[in-house]
Amino acid sequence: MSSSRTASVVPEPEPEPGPDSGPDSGSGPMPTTPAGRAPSRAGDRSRWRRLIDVVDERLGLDALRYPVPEHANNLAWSLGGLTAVSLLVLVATGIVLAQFYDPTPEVANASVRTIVQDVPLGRFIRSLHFWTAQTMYVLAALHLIRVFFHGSFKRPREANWLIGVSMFGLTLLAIFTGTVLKWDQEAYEALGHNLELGTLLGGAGFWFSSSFAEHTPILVRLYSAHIMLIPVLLFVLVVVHALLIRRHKISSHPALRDPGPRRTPDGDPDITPDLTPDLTSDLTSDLTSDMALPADETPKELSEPFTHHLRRVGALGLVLLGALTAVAVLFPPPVGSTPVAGVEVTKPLWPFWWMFTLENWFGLPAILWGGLVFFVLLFAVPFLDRSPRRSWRTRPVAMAVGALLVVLLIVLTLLMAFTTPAAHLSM
Amino acid sequence: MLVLAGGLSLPQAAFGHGDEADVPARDSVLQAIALVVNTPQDMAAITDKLDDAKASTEPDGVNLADVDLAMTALRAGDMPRVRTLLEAAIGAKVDVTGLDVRHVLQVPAGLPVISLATGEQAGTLVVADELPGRGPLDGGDAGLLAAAAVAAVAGIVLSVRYRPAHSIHTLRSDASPREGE
Repeated sequence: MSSSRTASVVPEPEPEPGPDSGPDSGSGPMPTTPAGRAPSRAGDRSRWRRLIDVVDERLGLDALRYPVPEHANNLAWSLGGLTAVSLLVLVATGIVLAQFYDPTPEVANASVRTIVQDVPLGRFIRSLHFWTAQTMYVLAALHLIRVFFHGSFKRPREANWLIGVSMFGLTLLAIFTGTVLKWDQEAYEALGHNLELGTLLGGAGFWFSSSFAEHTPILVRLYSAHIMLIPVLLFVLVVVHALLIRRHKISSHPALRDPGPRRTPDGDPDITPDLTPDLTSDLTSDLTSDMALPADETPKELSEPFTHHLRRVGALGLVLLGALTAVAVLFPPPVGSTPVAGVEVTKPLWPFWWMFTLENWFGLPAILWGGLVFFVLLFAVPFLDRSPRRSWRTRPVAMAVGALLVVLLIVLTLLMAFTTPAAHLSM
Repeated sequence: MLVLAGGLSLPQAAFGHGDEADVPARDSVLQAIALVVNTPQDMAAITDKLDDAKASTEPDGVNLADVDLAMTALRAGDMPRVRTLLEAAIGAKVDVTGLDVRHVLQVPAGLPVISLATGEQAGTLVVADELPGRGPLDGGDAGLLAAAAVAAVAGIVLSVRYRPAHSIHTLRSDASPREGE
């Protein structure tokens, strides 16, 4: 099993790759060239590998083979990658749905029915989009919890935590706008809440006011946000997120304090260079600067190319896609009745339930204040928990507060499941 | 704490509504139809809407005699007749397909200009029933489920193949002696 792995390495791209310079060409530890590449083994070369080399020479894909610690290939450390896989599925299915969806209020609901009933595979694609969106929300939340639990947000990675929380918020916004697009009673009531919250925000909520563009249905504006504004912002943040991971490297596992010399997959001491020279200098500068990284930041475990992390995420993503496909076939969502103003009889999608329990208790403004408090808390995490200690055992206060917040959200969500929604809208 | 939470989670009284007499009778009838479609068991709410329609200061476009008949049918629990009568009261026709755009918009033949919804208007003229998520599984569904199984199995095989060489537990065990130093 492990013989298919490359033990170390991680070359920087060369200006003129030789015939044997393709990625992942070895099996097990191999001596490396000064640039870190495996030596020639012409017999193993395939046309596919040569094609990759041709592309790599021109696009520099080899730069993706920067080193990451071995533990990055664990499931828990692959949650961010799986969230990205979900995003790709959403983009693909969303492009198909956009060909048949009509955001005009009079026919929006009917066009969703057309997708479900008349478009080949339409019901499945809509269902896959529906379930993948919720999966992305769950995976992003689990990823945030994992990062919090392992203290991976700590210096120098605070900015990436803030970007991650922003992406989580955008995911929630995308789910909300997507809910409204189906333009059934639930969608219309969700929009009603949104408009009321916009009013509560005063001038800051201008975009949510129908008077902002009074001749344009707000459904059309939410549609543009769903298919353009939010995805563009998400992709910009994803790119910056990835670049910062490249810059600061995937964080070490807090449970692995100075585990000794790196080893090959077979357990032998790994005598190959840890990192390529420039990467080493990056790391050295990190370690010798006044950042004073704690001892557990010293990566001594086996390192693998980032492409192996992508490979592992791809394999896990295939499992995810299979599961989502099955769920999409077996549990396609219904299309609700066409919307009517003045009645309030539905519940929102479950990611919003905790907010609506607060609304039932304290009135509609509680959605706004509850949501604000939640995200302010998330954004404040790296500013409140600043000690260099990363293990959960050494951060009892942070762990207690985090656990309390998660339990609170789960309880509020479950309460909504057994609650008849109260009417709060004035529209 | 749980008792308090449970008490708070009980259904709450509605608020946020304005003077119902100012609501056009047609809107109240449309709301009553929406309640018949979404919460047919909530007879009190439906009755309230019909009362609002009858008390409205703007009864234009509504046949109140049909509304009275709908009230009688409602008391008898005949919900399909309630819906039919209410739709007749506002001149709407049942449209469960929702696919005929001109029908949905109620555009008379030859009329060049139609009025479309703006702002936050729902644009609903008739209330279509909920379209269920799934009927019986067909051959296409079976094919998709088979593809899902293949993808899942392939993914599991590959993710096992590409799993890390050492578990965190192994790495941690190796590091343990050093922690004691």
